[in-house]
Amino acid sequence: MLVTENSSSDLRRDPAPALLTARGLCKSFGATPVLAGIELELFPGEVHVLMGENGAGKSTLLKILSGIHAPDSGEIEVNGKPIVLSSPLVAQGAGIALLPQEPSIFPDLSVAENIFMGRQPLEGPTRAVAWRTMQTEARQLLDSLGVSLDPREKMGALSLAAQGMVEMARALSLNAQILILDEPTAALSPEETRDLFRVVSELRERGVAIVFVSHRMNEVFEIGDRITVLRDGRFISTMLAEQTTSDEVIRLMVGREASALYQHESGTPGEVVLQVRDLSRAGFFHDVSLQVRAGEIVGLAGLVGAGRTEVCEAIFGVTRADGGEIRVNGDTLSNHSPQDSVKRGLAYVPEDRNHHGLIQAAPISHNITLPVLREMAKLGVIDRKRERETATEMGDKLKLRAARDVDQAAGELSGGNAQKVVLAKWLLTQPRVLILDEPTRGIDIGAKVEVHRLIGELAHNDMGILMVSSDLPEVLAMSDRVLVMREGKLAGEFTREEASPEKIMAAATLHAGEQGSVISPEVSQSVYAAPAPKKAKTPAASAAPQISTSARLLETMARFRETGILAVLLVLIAVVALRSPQFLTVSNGRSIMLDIPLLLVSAMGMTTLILSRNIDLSIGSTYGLCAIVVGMAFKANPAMPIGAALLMGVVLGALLGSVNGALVTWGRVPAIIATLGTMSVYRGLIFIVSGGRAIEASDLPPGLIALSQGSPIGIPWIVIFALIVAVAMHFLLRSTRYGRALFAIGSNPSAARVRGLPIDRTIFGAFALTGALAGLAGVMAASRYGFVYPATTGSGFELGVIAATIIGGTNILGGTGSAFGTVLGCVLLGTIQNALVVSRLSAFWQLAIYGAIILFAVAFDAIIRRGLDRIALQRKRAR
Amino acid sequence: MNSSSAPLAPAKVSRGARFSEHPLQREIVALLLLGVAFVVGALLSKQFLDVAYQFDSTSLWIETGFIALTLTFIIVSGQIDLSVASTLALVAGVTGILGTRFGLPFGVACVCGLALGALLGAFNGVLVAYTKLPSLSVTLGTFALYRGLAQVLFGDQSVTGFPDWFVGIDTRHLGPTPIPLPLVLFAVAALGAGFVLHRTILGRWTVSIGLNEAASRYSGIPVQRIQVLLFTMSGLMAAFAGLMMSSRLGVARYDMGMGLELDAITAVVLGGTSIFGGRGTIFGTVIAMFLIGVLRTGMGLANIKVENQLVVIGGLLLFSVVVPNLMARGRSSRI
Repeated sequence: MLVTENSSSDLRRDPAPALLTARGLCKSFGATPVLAGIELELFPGEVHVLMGENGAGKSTLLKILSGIHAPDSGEIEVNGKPIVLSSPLVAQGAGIALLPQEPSIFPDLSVAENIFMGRQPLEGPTRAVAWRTMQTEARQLLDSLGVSLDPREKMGALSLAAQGMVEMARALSLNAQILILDEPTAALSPEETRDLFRVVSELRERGVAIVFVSHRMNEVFEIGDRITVLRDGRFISTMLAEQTTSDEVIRLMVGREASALYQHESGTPGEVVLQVRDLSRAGFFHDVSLQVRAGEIVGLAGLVGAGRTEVCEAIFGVTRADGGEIRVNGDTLSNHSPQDSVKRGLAYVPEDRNHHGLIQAAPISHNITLPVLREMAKLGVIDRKRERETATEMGDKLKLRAARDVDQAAGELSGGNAQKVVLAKWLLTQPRVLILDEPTRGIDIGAKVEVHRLIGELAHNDMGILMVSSDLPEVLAMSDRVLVMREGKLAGEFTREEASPEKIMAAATLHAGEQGSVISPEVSQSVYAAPAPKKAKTPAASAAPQISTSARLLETMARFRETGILAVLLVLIAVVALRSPQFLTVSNGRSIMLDIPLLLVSAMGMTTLILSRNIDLSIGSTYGLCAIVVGMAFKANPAMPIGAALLMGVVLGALLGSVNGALVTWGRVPAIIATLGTMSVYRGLIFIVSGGRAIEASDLPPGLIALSQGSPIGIPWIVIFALIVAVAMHFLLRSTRYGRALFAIGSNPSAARVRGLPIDRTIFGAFALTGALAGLAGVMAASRYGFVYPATTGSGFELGVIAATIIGGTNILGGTGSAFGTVLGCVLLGTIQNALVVSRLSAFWQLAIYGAIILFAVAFDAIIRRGLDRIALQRKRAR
Repeated sequence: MNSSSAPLAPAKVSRGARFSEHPLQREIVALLLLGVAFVVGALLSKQFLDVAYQFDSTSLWIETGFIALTLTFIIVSGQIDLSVASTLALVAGVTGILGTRFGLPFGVACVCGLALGALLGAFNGVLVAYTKLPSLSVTLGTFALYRGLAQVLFGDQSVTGFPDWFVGIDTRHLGPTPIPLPLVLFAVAALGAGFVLHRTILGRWTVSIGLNEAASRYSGIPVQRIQVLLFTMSGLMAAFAGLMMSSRLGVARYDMGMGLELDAITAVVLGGTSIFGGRGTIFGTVIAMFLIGVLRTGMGLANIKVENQLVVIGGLLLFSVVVPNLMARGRSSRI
């Protein structure tokens, strides 16, 4: 039953017992059944291919196996024992690892940390993260897979392929017995695919069972041992790969004989409608010249990463080319935006349908009319009836099948119908030239034929069409002319008659002069499994490109950002000291020292929040509330020990922070809103608790005031507290699993979820910690200033705290930051504040300077980050 | 699939849809709360039902209301503007100085002030749209910068000596009715804003950008220009609110409208606009603004101190976000 009768006895690895057995799995979302009665058996050392059209239920099955979804019914056994895969962690514990289509990685963290996040090796009595051990283990893991990567490299700087390898190394380190690969080759070049297959084979040799999802028939037969086909959420069959054919698999997938690909019949091309001359964009493509005539379909073939999408985006004006000429219908376009292109009769159906093609949350009708909204409106007012009719009419014309009507959200549509919405939207602009980028990617076979027919009709109606496609049969069936790109340059042009899979592949993969030398008959069979290049390279082997000087400079600036703040600080001190010599006196130094601790202690908490993509606007109110409560406690009981007062502040602060944490984690309120609310609530509580009465110096015991005046070693206690907090936070952020989890969550929250990191607990803890530190700072403030005023204590304090944190290099978008940077940020702000006083400049300058400094720091970081991203991108492309 | 030959026939509105799935759920909650606030207020104090008193008390929050209207656009487009109250103070002060110390005709000074507000907003917009900096950081910076500039320019002095025609806009009424002029202006502005957001191309573009900025750009929407325009509108509206506030108070100071941006954001979010962008209505913002106003009036009459009212307003904001979230959660866990 699980395998077709004749094949069960042929299983090469029988009688090894199954690693995983799934029986009768069913799953519905709401009223829609997506899986019914799925059967699956996985044996050690097999590559088990899962096939089916889009919507057949593959991804749901994968999510059940990896513990993301729970099945409604059915049972799963791992190693013969029944198991309930209730969460990704449970699945991980059972030896099942999922590598999703888009690798879920932490781009800001190193390769080694990506592998070991949440289970870093620890050392010593402090249980600190053992960085060296971790890096050594990571290197060994990668080496064992034949991948040579530096474990210290930042994950975000690696190519997609290399990221995939790291993910596999991670699965291996988890002792995964079952590895689930969801379309791992979709975005890889043939070379990278081959490397991947080498690693997959290696894992197979070790007895790992690999579930492999792919739409590329040639890959399926190259790597697969067994094939399971799903259709409409049902189990259809499991077969041995060597006993079946692609035709049979397709027949089982679609439930009918595979309809032949639509064949476009060439017409007579008209005048040139799109003319591109010597178009270049540094690092992406060079000197690309092409033309498209009316009624002509020009195929643009090449490997992933050859620069085809980039050329299209530059033609359409999404990005700017550095040089060259673009003419549409004879009009020159330069420095143009997409809206200029649309006006000239150009339309572009982008490659990434979900992010660039559609607004998924918007209704179908709004999506369809978006580029022609002006035609749906009079004097800027939208005629909604007309809009709806236009959208409906267009949808009917393209045989759009929506479950409801054009009011349905576009994101609920299947791949094929979603693509029809994108096509409908652009056809409404009545373009002369239509650029299609991978028009049938992720579309099931039925819809594919319809899209092909539509493209053919458009060409017959005299539209000029430029079609980027990695699907070679599609290119051959549809194109009047085929252009091939390789490494950012045009590498070949073939007429319909000349074009053949061999020629296109050769042009796409070989260097000039070598063409024809390596071509063998197999090439045409395995469509995009490229012929072996002369040097077998792992992605890592080619991962050491030349680094330009400017790139080095940028990286240095990023690495030594803290040094930069230090330099600014020194310059500031020098300038102020020259103007006002008393700035450098001991008593002034002391005064600076006393200003900083309150800010520093609070900013340490804020750092944990901002780097995990949160924020606490209530920090000033928390600080004020703790100060006033402690002050009142002293008023009621002047003999209260100072230690008890500090503890009281910390505990109360932690409680207030926990409320924020609960709202954000349990109540799912965005941090900025939650803490905006508690900011008001806590400030109001200050007045309620105190009855609006201030705490004066006479209410506070001398012992408390003394905290900010001295200590046995001469440095005021509050400075010592601040130093202790800074060192502890440095340790927390740098060397504990908890601290690293904060970075991981800030770097990529959804990856953190997939990895099973305890996100809610971690974030809740960070809020409680921030509150506790703000409470401590409140008590310190009572000591430093000797009074607490309900209206002013801590009011506006959050601005300084956030400013210090951002200036210290913590990215407001999460993922990067350090305790040391925040310390420097606080010292800089404290010094500025003091310098204003000393230079007798009005203290009124302080706020304006804070503002300017925040803008400067944020802009500086953005420039650096963008520069680094560009370099990383160029490196990725250099492969 | 024959029945799908007319697949896009107009839908019947499903009557059985649960309230928790109603598209205007958040606005309706705000409306219900407003009703409750009215009833409770009336029970607590007789004066609460005094129509003239109710009308006049709107002038106290109307400046925030104006700002909340444009802020709704900003938040729907996926951004935030924390600098509005600082813009208000800077513009009010500069206008006052231009009109009183530099001897400009006061009307001209007002126009200059509005232009300055637009400029300050455009500065935010250009930074956000063309340098791709997060608006939270940019406007946090200008929040401090603009208020700081006001502080540098005016110190702790009050700018006074406005001409008679300028002072006391809140004491003027619509003809013989008890409706104060600011409220009339607000009604007009709200209707205009609602029309623009829900009926025009600009509004549709604003929503689209908030839902998916990249797809909007790929669809030929001039995203960056719209972003600059929205921030410019926000600055202009803050400037207008600033003039109105100095007219009402008769002075301009650097610390005018301190914390007003938080009230405005509270109103927008309480009115159902998603802080992540892409969803929101002017109707909701207006209802929430009235709710906050009525609560403040009612609590004032019940002798609850202004500071203590903070607890109620903050709690309300949290309540309005947490409850629907938990309802949604309960729903999804049942499935």
